[in-house]
Amino acid sequence: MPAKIQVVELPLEITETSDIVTAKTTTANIESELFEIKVPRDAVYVFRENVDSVTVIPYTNEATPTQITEGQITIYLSDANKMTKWSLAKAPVTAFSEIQDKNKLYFWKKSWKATSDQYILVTLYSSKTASGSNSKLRITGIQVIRVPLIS
Amino acid sequence: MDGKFEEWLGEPLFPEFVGRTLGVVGADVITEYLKKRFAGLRGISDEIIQAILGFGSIKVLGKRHEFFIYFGQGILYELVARIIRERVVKAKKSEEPLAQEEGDLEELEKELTELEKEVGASKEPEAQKQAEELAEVEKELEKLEEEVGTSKASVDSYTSLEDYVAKKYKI
Repeated sequence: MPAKIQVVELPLEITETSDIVTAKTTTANIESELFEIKVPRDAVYVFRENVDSVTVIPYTNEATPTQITEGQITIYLSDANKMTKWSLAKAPVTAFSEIQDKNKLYFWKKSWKATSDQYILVTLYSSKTASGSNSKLRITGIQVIRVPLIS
Repeated sequence: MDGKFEEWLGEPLFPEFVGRTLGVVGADVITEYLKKRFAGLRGISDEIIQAILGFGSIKVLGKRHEFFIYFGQGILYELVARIIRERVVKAKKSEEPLAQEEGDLEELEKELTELEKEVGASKEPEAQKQAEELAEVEKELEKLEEEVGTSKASVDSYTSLEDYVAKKYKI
């Protein structure tokens, strides 16, 4: 008989300041990573169709950053070795730029999950260079965490 | 149970409890139980207790805990009375009963009469008390079963986080 486990579900909000997020600098005219999110051990992130949303607002890599509104954002799910990537969302930058208005948020088109050690990659293809440190990110979902059995 | 026991015993006093398992107990527990039950009654010897034990656990019910349940329903006095009666009938059918046996039989019949009187007087409150106790145990059992059922569903139904997510969110 397989071992039993206990789980707890908590709301998930990933932002540019979250510990699991690594901000990167993109390369102009090449699709490159803006944010890298690593799912921790003993956790599964769940993103529900039409319930959870994603916001990405890229800013330029300049002393006085300006918002980038041109280009395309793609969000991938990748395995721990980044050998395989699955595209989860792909749209013009402006489609992801709403952060408050629920009517304009980008909701996931299909439910999906990210398991331990997998990566969620946010990439940008734009003529401008973006800095993850200057940019904004907000992804909502549910985190399912394994807790030790108390016997 | 093969039905013969019920046929012999007649209608149980608390049919709703028959067949319910309250726990497996051994012969020693039953013996203690019987001794306590008969503590205030005259004429109940160890021999009779042994007869009941042998009858219940070996020939009729096969399972001691089922036997015990029967005795937990207030049937005990009736059963003892019937066992004594059977012994009397059996002895009377004997072609040449010994004088000693006749004496025993008379004594047994007296015991039976006394017992029946006592049972008639004390059966109802005793039975009611037992029924109340059993109802309480039943409630506790139901509560426990409910709790076990709940935790079973939430713990046993998945073996990993992925399994949990797959079942709950269908992804």
